[in-house]
Amino acid sequence: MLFLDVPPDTTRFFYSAYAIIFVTLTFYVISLAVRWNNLHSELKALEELEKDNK
Amino acid sequence: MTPTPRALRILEIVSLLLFAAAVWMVFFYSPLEAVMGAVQKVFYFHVANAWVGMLGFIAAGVSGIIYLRTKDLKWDIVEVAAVEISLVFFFIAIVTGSIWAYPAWNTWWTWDPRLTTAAILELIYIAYMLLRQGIEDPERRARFGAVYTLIGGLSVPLTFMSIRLFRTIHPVVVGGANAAAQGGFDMTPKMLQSMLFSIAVFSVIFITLFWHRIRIGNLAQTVEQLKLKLTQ
Amino acid sequence: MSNTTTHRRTSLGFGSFFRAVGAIAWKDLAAELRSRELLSAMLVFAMLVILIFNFALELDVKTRATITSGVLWVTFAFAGTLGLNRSMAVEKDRGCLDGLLLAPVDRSAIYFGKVISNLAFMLIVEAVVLPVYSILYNTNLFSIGLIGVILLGSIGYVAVGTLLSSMAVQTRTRDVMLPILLFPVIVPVLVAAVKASSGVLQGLPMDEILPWLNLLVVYDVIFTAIAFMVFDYVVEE
Repeated sequence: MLFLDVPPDTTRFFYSAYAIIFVTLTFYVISLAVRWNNLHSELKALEELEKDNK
Repeated sequence: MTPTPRALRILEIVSLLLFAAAVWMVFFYSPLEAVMGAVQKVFYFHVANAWVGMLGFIAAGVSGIIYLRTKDLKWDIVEVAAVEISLVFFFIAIVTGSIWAYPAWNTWWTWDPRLTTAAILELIYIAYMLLRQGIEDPERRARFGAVYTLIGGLSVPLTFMSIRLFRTIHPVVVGGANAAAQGGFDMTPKMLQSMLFSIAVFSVIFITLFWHRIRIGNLAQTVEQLKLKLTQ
Repeated sequence: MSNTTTHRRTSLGFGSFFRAVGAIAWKDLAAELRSRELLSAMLVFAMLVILIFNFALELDVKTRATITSGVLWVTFAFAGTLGLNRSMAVEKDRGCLDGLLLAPVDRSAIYFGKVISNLAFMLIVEAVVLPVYSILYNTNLFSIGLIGVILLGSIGYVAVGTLLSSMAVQTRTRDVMLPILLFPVIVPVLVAAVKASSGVLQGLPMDEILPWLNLLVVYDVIFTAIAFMVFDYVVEE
């Protein structure tokens, strides 16, 4: 440790942290899209039902 | 059912571009720190997520109060959106904080005020979600949600102060008394720019996600009302 | 189901507010005096918690001094949850709450009445736990300072707990919901109470204990005020 020219190699922590950030954000965005689509189809189905009832 | 507004579409594209730029800055532009090496760069997105999460937290508290005064359910939708997104951002902040802690201080967790308060805040968010799930009536759900964000919101600063007081009297052995997010490194201009840019980028991302989540809330409300109407 | 909050103030003024509070508190206390269900449950539970701690932690003489206040407050927190839950559940199940809401009484009087009775139950349990713990572990826990800390901590705990238990009892998961809602929010009270208690027990100088007492007082004042203002929204029909 006398001639400390090179910083310690902590790249694996760096990569895993950023991997987690990307994965979490992607998961969340996908969940938003999925929920939107589900609600949208549910709305369509309910509107069909409403039309049939009239 | 409104199609996605143009402004939101533009915002999405802007967010993606800014995010890419921020990633480039973190990976290539920002310098390698001498003491901790590459893991120090975790700091940029860690701080950005924590900061923006805090803003969401305040937004939730404010919408809660507005809901209680106006009884307009749209504020409830805003509140849930803010809590949910803050929950995700804080999760990222906590996990990245933990990953940073290990090579920096040789421990996966430090009971320092910020990390501990963040964990408690996350638990308050989860409690909030569980509370809402246990209530059928939308109006009661909104009322209780607003009350809990108020109580939770007020408790967090006191929690932070109590843990900080706890820490100053009993200094942490690992990580030193200043076991705070900065981890004791001096920031060069490039680092400062990267950090500020990351915070700005995540603010934009927050707004984009927030808008989308509010749209989902509105759609869910429409569906629920239609269901109610049809079953009568 | 009406969405309006009618703030029913009695036209009779200040004195009747206090009488209402007293009446509500007394109703619970008198009922408990007769049946003693709640208190016995809380006491037995507290004893069991202390017993479990005996096996879970090495409570030998040396470590005990530092751990005692922690053990005490965990015991109080858990027994307190039991009391808060039962107190509200009984209210709801017997339809008392609806009855109270129909009465021409300020909603906040209901809040204060419940807080006083819940506080009384918690203090009674604490008053029993202290001597029992002293006997079991051969330590002297009797000091004015400790009693003061316990009082301040219990007030904060019950002020927020009464509000949150009113909410919890109206959810699907009921009893389970209260600790989930309460514990994250009560952290400042627990931290300050434990540190202040252990300071008192170890005979630390006043200026080291004072910040914790200040924190307790600040918490108590802020949260009692907020809970009292917001209670209306939690019980309206």
